[in-house]
Amino acid sequence: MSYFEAAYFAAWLILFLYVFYIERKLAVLGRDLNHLKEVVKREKS
Amino acid sequence: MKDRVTRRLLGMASFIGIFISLYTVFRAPLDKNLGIVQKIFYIHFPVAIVPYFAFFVVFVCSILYLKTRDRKWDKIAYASAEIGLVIDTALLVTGTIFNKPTWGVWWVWEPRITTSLIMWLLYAGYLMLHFSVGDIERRPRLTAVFGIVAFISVPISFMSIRWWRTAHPLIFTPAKIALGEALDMQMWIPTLIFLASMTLFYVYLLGQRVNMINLQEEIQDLKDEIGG
Repeated sequence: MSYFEAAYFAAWLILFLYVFYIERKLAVLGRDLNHLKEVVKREKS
Repeated sequence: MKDRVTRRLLGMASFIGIFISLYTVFRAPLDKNLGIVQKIFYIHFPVAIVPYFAFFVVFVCSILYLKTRDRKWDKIAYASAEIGLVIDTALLVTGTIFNKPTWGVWWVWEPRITTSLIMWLLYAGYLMLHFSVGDIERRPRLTAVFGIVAFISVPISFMSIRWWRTAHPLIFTPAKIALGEALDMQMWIPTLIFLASMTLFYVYLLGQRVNMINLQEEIQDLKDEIGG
């Protein structure tokens, strides 16, 4: 791997891992929020 | 709903921008002296500038938090510091890889690299402070003060190659730009497109990260409601 390829690969790896972390976490949080809203609604009714 | 659509559109626009940037990098001419290694500059430059902007946002939002005590500013400051630190990590990595073929060594303790590392450590400290203070009332106040003080590292890092003798090249000076010596016209295009795409990418990440903090708080409130 050349220095050029290594630099681009390393930079995008760092940035895309972070994007993956954010998107994954947002999906999980969205699911948790919907579940909790259901629980609250059931408890109130 | 409208916010969500805006964030998705921003995400799509920034990814398209990045692909266009990569295309312009491949189309850019080869440097006479450095060859293909010079093309590392096109990614190294935006990942150097965007963290400065991100840390400036931390600075401004920290001041606004201390002035208004509105939690919104604390959330934006924290999100911006985290994103700035991630992009700054990419800067240090690309810089290290750029050093080897151009200077013959991976790391040199010269002013720009050293001040960039200090800046990285300071904002890593900002995040550690955020995690270590449990008191939800004190935490925003302490991190806001730290966010203001840590910003000192940004102008020092930016000006380091102007203030001290260093091996780091100084490409963008008003005189060089006026004389057209800063960059070849064909090299300006990928540089500016990459910078615009990376800024858009930062804005998209900021929106997503603030949204994540809001969701976490909403979940905590619902948990408290169920628990109580």
